[in-house]
Amino acid sequence: MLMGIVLLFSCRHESEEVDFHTTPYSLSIPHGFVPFSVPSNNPMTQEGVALGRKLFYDPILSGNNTQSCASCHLVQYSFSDTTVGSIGIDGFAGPRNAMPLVNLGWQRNFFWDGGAADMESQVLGPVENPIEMHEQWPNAIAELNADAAYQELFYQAFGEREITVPMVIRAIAQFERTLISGNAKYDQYLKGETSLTPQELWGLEVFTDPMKGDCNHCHSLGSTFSDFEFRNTGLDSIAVDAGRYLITLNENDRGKFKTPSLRNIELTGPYMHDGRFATLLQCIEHYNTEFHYAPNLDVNLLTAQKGRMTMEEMQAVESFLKTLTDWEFIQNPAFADPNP
Amino acid sequence: MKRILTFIAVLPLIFTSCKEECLPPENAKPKVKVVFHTTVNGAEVASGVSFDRPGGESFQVDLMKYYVSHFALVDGTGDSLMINDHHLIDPINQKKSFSKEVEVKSGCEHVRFLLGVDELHNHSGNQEGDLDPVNGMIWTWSTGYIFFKHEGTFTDATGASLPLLYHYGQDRALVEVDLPIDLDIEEGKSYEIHIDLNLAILYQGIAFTDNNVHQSAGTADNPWIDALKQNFRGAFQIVEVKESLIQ
Repeated sequence: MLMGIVLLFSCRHESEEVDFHTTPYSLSIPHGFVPFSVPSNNPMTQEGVALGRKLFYDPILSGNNTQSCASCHLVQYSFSDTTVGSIGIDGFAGPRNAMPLVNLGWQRNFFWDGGAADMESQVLGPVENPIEMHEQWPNAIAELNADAAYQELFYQAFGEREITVPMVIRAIAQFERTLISGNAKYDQYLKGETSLTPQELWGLEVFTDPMKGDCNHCHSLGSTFSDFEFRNTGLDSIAVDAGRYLITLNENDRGKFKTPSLRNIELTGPYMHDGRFATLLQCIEHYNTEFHYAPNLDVNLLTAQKGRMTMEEMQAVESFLKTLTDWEFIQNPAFADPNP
Repeated sequence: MKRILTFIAVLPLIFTSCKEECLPPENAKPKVKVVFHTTVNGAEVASGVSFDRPGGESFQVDLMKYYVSHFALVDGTGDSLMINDHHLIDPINQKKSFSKEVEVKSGCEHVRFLLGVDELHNHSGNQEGDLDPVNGMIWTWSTGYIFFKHEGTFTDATGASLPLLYHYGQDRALVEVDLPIDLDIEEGKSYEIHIDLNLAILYQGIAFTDNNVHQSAGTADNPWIDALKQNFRGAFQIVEVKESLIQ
């Protein structure tokens, strides 16, 4: 009889353990890209990615349940939007342009000023920012815990039904790590699957010419088209937005912002941290002739000759930049809203 | 069936008594409990209670939380017995202590801990337990933990009531506290170490008037951070060490 009871208890214990198992998620790393690492406490799983995708598109994380991450990070704009400063739930516009979400796994330091040290931590900010989703994390967690369907999904992803902030930010970060773009025309060209037009090839030449565009000095060719360093690019003589300085409190960082990726750049206007430029040509013109000699202007610009590119060369660079658009990326059904 | 139910009911008692018989108390691993009392000259802070301070000011506490990290008992050779990793003290909500079963250790001469969160853990919200961001002790726009938070009101010398908001943090604000103790940790015994954080000492020389809002967000906060950091070192004091046999 005792053996029977022991078996009864052990059997129940085993069945509970069997209920929870996750399926590893294999990231699809494009040809020529170096794989990126993920945090040891947040391995990629099918269940985690699916949950993160659902949360990304669910307004439950905002104060009045009207906005989700996807409200300002729209897939058709490479997970950016078309406003200068995105409008939050209370109708206020943010001071900075929504950053596109693409190839994030290769990045470090998130937000324009690098205020979030890792991707999981990045998720914390927009939820509580009063001019964005304007919610308090304890409220958001209480709402999620009151939803039996979410409790089940969190159990499937993390083995716990009691939902916590670390579980939420890990799920969203898992989904964001899947937002990989590596099938633009330029990538196909590198693989020999297509050819660039003479105009696009000329643009690539100007892009990399140290005496002309010299763009690749910061927007390095490759998976990310950025080295993600912080730079003052001379947008203002005296920085209106102190940028990186607000994080480090180092005077040398005043007016510096993260060098953004150029992938899908055609889709992510307006441009710069404050969305001041409507077109790519305006951006290129800024780096050609319009930049200001700010006290800590990036050395690559400090030594660059103004007016070094002709209008035709700038237009060629623009043509090349458009070869970085990955139409398959923005139409990927795995990135679409999964909620009914 | 009735016999089975009776057996199931008695089963836990059998296991409990067996456990007690198999592990005599005198051989039990020692246990150390650390209790933080947040006071003004010995009077514990509580919501709605006003505390006088020099200069005609008084203050109240609506919210007070702080991190105590890497609490250790250290012997004369520098060898240490770690009691915790990171713990959030929240006196208003009676979250004041932490405890741990430890190994025996004789000749403990120091209590050492950090007020705050060490640099390795200070810059990611991807953490659980007391470092879970749900505790409201992290800056979400610039990832870093608020080491010490005091929100409430103060009354200035003219009698005007004003908000008091102190969010103390940044790597430069981390405080290493070292307090003398004379303690042997022995088998079969439990210990309670009671430590007082005296706000009267913490705020010594810091006027609240025209100095009542600090968020550790700019260089203008640095003199305030430096003053508090200096005061923190003297504001902690061991007020009692209790020792008892594990029953």
